[in-house]
Amino acid sequence: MKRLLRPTARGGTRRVPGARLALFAAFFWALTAAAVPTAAFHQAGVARDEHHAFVATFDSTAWFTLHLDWLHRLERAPAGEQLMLGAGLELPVLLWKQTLTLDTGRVGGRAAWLAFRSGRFCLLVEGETRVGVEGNNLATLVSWDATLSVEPWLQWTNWGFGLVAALQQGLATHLTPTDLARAAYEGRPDAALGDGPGSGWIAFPSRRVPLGLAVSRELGRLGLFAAGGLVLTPSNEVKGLFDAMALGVWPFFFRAGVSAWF
Amino acid sequence: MARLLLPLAACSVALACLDVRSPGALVPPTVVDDPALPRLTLAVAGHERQVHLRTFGTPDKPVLMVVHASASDLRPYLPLQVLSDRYRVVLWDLRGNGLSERVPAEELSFEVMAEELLAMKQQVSPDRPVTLLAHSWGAVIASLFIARHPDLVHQAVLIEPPGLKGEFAKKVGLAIDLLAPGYLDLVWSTDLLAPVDHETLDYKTLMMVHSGIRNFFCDPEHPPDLPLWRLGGLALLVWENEALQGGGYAYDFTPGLERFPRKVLLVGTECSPIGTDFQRETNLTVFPNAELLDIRRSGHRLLSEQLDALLAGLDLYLEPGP
Repeated sequence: MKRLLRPTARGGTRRVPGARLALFAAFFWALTAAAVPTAAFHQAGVARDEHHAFVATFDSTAWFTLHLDWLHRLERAPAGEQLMLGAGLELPVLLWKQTLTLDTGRVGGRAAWLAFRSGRFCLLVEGETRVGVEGNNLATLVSWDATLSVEPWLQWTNWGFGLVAALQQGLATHLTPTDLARAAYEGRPDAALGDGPGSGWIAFPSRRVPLGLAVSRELGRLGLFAAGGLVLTPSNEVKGLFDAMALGVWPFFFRAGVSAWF
Repeated sequence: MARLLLPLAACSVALACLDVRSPGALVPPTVVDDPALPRLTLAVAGHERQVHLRTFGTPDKPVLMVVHASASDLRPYLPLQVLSDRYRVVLWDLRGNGLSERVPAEELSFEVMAEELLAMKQQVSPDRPVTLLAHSWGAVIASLFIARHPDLVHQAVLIEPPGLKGEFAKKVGLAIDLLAPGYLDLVWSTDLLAPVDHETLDYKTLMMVHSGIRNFFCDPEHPPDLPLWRLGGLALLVWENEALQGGGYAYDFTPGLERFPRKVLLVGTECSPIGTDFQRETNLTVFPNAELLDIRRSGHRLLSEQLDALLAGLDLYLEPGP
């Protein structure tokens, strides 16, 4: 660090402004400088040459949820940009197996964009919007949400390591109460308010922030990937990391899957 | 407020909109929002809070205070009004629960809950000791009150308290079914409607209670009905967090119980993991004078399953006293 100090006319030394920052930048450039011929990463794999992909993802939501996605590279994307669009299904397989009823699931559209790339480093931005339906003991819910994910990655020939930072925002949910929900309003002889539960659209019903780590491995036309981490659920009443697994709020996520490119 | 108004305005132009924060939209309103509900104001922990209250029997009779369980309200205990021939039966929704006022987390600790029992006793029976009938975590709160104020309690019926100290709680097997379809629905719905304020917390707690996650029934496939109005979601989380500190059960609510001289009636059931056998091995040992009532063909929701058997047992124990 003495080299970062400049001698003064009076015989002392003073720090070179920004020296530490420059040193860090140099280290980071050295780590990421080597170009990777096929920077295949994540299930989007936007830097691959193939145009289509089928992706199957296992997600820890409700212990076992299966995502099936299809992605297509936009051939008319401007030069230097890598953009893929797609659509998919989200199926709570364990719940279906338990109930044998197909009343819960989601469909959605996805976009993945390689926003920046320099050597081994790349920045992937993903967007997703989903429409879902759920039948539970208190209501039938129809939902619409959107997720924006920013993922910086370091990529070697066949391996990649990245960070996941996402914002999952519920946009609207329509609620239709069941008889069980209506029963909660009965038997209140003194009550003057609340004839029964409401039915209708709820604006911005949820917000969750997944933060985690990801890893990928390329095997020819297949891409394997996994990610896991914490999920923050901002709350008006509960401070800190909102862990209430008893109420279905899981403070963690895990997913793993495989993509097939052709 | 502006963030909420704009989407609501847009929403209501097109379709019927539901403001989940408006009283009664998701769950019945509390005493704060519905002025017609019977209530009492209690000063506890430096704050005056309103609790939803129902009483049966005449004021000249000795008082029986009923303390409900966690994730519950007073509604399942209304059949106990049959005891109003001997007692003035006082049922109320504990602070932060049922139709009582919602309070912040720092006003929901077990110590504060025991203070609420004292405040209630001072209002409904200032000159006489009371009889307590308490269920589950309500029985833990009642035990804390007995330990603090043994001279203020005439008799106590404790229905299946979980372990009164941590080492007892560790003996309970895994009494939850994390694969129950109702629980999987609950997890899935977090993305659709997150429990982030009192209304949605209480709504999700109601969903949880009916989910089948708690496996303390004789027939898990056909659990007994449990009539409820509104539950205290934040209270449930605070109590469970206080009991489970540092990842383990490290509490002890037994100091002082050895000073209570009169007989306590512990009640256990056949099918509950904290039933008769558990009570005999654990909580029965901390009272100098206690008796165990065993209810057959029932789980933890005793009042919905075997009310008559409970009342028959109470008839043998209860002595209204001075």
